[in-house]
Amino acid sequence: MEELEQHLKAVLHRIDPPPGFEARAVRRRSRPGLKWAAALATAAMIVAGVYWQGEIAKERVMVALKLTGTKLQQIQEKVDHAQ
Amino acid sequence: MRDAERRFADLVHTHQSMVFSIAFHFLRDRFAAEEVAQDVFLQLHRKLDELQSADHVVFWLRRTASHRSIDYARRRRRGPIAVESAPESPVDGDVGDIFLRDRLKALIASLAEAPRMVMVLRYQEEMMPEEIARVLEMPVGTVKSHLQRSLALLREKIERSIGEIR
Repeated sequence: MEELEQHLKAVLHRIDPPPGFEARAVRRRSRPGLKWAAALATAAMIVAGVYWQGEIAKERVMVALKLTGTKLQQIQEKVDHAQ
Repeated sequence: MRDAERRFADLVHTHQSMVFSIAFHFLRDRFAAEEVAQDVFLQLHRKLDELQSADHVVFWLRRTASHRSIDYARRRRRGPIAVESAPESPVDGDVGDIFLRDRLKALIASLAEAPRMVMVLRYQEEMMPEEIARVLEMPVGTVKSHLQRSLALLREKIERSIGEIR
């Protein structure tokens, strides 16, 4: 092998990665799973929020119906009284 | 630890130096090399079931590390000039050798992407032109041509700046 090629082999020898590289690689593999978990948690929060908003709306409708019923009853009583 | 997780951890342990060095010698940037190498191992984890033999894993890692490094350099659109020094093996030469090797690093970093990766695979991994051709998905003739031209260019520039190298 030529002298130049020997120098090239010396210059391009394998080197160790920075400390902690191996641990970071092993830990990082689980990130996609965490992403899915985060996405599922977000979706669950949205569904719960929509459901909660629905419950509030339902409650408001029920109150409105009760108020309307009471008013109608009062009007009916006034009409009956006038007659 | 499950078998697949243990296998992955073993592969990272065994091949981290190879993958990191391919990226580092090509990019000459420690942070960029770590980013590329970490991405390569993340992709390896997803492909683990498809890679059965040890040879297949090594081939796949070399190919993926090479292509990822080239993609990274293109994305960043930065020149290959910034040369970060790699830790040397125990000093094995005189001052002239050390100076020559520093000059060589700069010259390798100044090569275009394809010939630079060919040089990294040839002299870091000691791969034959046929193997390099398979990894880089290019004709063997192109690999040989890159090697010959790069060696001639390096020899010419080194001779000009330092002296005759046989």
